[in-house]
Amino acid sequence: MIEPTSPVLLQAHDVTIGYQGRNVVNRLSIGIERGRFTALLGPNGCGKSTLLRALAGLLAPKSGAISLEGQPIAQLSRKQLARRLSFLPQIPRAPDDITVRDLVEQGRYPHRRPLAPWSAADRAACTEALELTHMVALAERPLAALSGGQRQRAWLAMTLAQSADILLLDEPTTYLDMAHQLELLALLRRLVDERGKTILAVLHDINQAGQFADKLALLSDGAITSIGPPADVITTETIRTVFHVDGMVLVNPMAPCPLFLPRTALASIDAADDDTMRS
Amino acid sequence: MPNPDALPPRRRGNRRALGLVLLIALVPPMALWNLTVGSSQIAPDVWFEALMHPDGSREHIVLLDVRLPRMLAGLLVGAQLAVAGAIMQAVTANPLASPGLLGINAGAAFAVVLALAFTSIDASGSLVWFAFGGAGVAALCVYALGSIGRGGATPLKLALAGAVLTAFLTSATTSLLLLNQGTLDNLRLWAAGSLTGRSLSTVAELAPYGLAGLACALVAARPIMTLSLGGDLASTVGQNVVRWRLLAGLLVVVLAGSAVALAGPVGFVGLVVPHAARLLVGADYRWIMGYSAPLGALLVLLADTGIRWLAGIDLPVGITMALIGSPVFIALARRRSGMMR
Amino acid sequence: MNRGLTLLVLLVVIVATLSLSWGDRGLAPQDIFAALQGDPIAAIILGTVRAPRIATALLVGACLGVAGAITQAVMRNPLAEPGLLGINGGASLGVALLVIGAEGAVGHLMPLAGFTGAALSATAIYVLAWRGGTSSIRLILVGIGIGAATGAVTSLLTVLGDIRDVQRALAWMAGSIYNADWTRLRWLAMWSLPALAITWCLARDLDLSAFDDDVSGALGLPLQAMRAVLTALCTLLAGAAVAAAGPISFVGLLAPQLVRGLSSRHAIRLPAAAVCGALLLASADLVGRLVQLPAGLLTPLIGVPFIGLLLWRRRND
Repeated sequence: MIEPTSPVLLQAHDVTIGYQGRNVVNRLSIGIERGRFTALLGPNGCGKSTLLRALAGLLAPKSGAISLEGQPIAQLSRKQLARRLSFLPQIPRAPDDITVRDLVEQGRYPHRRPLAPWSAADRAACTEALELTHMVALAERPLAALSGGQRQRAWLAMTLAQSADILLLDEPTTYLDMAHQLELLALLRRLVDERGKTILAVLHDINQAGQFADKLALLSDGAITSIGPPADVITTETIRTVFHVDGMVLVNPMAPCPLFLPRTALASIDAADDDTMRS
Repeated sequence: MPNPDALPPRRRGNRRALGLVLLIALVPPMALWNLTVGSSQIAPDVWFEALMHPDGSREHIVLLDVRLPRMLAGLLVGAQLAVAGAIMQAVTANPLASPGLLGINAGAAFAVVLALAFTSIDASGSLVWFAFGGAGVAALCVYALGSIGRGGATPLKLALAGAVLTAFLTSATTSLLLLNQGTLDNLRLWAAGSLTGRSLSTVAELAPYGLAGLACALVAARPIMTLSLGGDLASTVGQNVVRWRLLAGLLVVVLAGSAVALAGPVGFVGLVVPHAARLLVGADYRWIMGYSAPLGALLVLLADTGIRWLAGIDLPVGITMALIGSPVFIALARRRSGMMR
Repeated sequence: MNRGLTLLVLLVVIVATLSLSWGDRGLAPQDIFAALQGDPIAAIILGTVRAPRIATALLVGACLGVAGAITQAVMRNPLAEPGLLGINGGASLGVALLVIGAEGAVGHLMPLAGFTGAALSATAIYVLAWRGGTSSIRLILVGIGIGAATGAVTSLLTVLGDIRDVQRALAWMAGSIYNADWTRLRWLAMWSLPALAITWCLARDLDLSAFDDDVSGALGLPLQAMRAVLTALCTLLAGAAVAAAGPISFVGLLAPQLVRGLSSRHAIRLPAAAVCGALLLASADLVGRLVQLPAGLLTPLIGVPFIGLLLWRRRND
């Protein structure tokens, strides 16, 4: 089994992140532990995607620092960073006519020198990524011809082909039906257990997160309100304050983690929605 | 100024109506100014004299044969192109839609040059039908080109399709003009978009089309407003979307086509004016269209008069408008590019 | 070797041979061989008139095809073309200013004025589209705006200028390869061959540029730097082409479109677009000689129906 704590691999220290005049994340600190599956949850517009983009080095924080094993990521070149950390945005876009194989092979970009030929390592990484995501049979199909779920798996395959230790995934289960959601989460779990990958994923379903992730982090209004193992985080109080939902916490008969059963939304949800509308 | 949307509906309506009256009241003084400025300054009182008792003096002839048609053409062209732009922006839910950018002006202009180069037709009343035809074909092409692919006719795709078609038509127009030097000399002014050189009879021949188009646009303001909700929503509230889209397209063709027949391809009026109107009255397209007509007339007259008054040179109004309009367009593109994908 | 690419090369050879042999004095293929072996008359016709002309058409077409492929990747839009970077509008304005504004014989300065205008207007577009970074959409829209502005100033000049100057400027703006000679071709080659080579070395980066910012950034593409380099290369290629032949539209739009199906990899797409662009312009020049029109006026006439057809076939994507 896993030890209770593991060394921090990716660390955000006191970061403030925002777009032109508006701060989305305020003075937040979080440490992503090596070899763990951390799930990031929070209501709409709380800054999850913004935090993820900043951790991926795509958005420079206004203040504070983000470091990878103690080294500020701002000091790494884009390619150096991409060899160690991969990121899959919520709605990735690609040229219409690209095939799955071509898409997955793009994942090797950070590992290739200019003009260097396609190497055995490149081929192996792509084949493995296609196999892990069950996309081998669909490899020659154009991306545009796939269903939403298949497309999501193709993108995940590209991210895996990148062979980075850290995977940052923004709502990877969004377009999937229930079976594919569970399959994908099980795959992420296996990547952590068998390959020692470190995963930070934005998820929406708190019970799924509790079942598959090692740690949950709850984000609201740009700050971490609660972080820890599922049993510590999934409580009626934290869910009421973060999601404005009233309900009960039950014992999950199938897994060693709590199960949250929602009852009703609290009145203050309107106020929260107004905020997001205005922004 | 208090936010207009925060006011109770009745008072908001009153304010908008008052604003419209004010705008319309501004048009006559602007028109008068346009008449007085020129190579010779003519005092307003000579004007009434010329109108009431024309005596054939040089001043009177200049006024009646040169400046009056020019002013009337400016009024019509401005109002028509602005309203056409407003309709296009409503129907395509596209902040970049306008007769100039989407190639409709270029289509009408190409058809007119074609007619002048290869037929012996030169009466405006007949040429205007070529302009309608060219405008209609161009509109269809741009819409067809722009709505291909995922996501339908997005603002960006329509603008690109318009740019492509305009490039093509401009090149074709240049070929015609190169092959035929006489046409080039006659038409280079008109092809840049100009109010000069129209006779009163030309204006009188073309005005009915434009005025009819404007009147129809006012009558159809409400269904056009409904169209601006988007196709799905408009049909859920019971509108025959296909029929009204076609009618709106036809209106645009008539308004823009007859404006081009009158003054050549004048750009940016149809783009800038509806945006200015939206700033004044909010998102209600009925009011935007109402405001666009006087605002467009004012803008074209101002561009035409102002440059003569300031610089003392007589620039084709199409060029003045492009020089004013392209910075506005770039500013718009910089601010709002995120929503045009 | 890719089969489509081979076919394109074959077609280019056919069109080039036709171009060499067709003219006021027809030359059969054996005459071309004779010229190579030293027949003086055939050698003069080929060496001073037809060979530089066809070579220029091929090279300009290749530049435009590759510049178009770059634009379509960087702007992520199949309808984008180098003209949107202000190349043609800026070049036309530069030449109009020179011909209409300056006194005396300035014909030899026209390529320089064209290139300068193109480079300036591409720079202006890039700078104006900068807002804490560039985005594809802003580049396109600002490009359209700058195009309108340069067009307005150009037509102002055509309205005010002397009619003979205007006609000379308009003739240049139509785009043609009439005046090709070895000196100009050497200049064009000096500019464009290195740029073509560098572009091909960046094929992999071009592949990624066509993805959205977050994906390509997360894969390690230095986005802003790469976009600046690619825009500069595109300006260089299209600017050199415009300097050599005047603004020729639609080759840059059409060539990369036609070869899209061959591969999604720019390592193949770029050479294919180059060959296809060369083929298009050489054919347009050949047809133009038959009907007495400059090639630049023919490319849109061929191009637009083609584009319509291509997009129509892809309407369900």
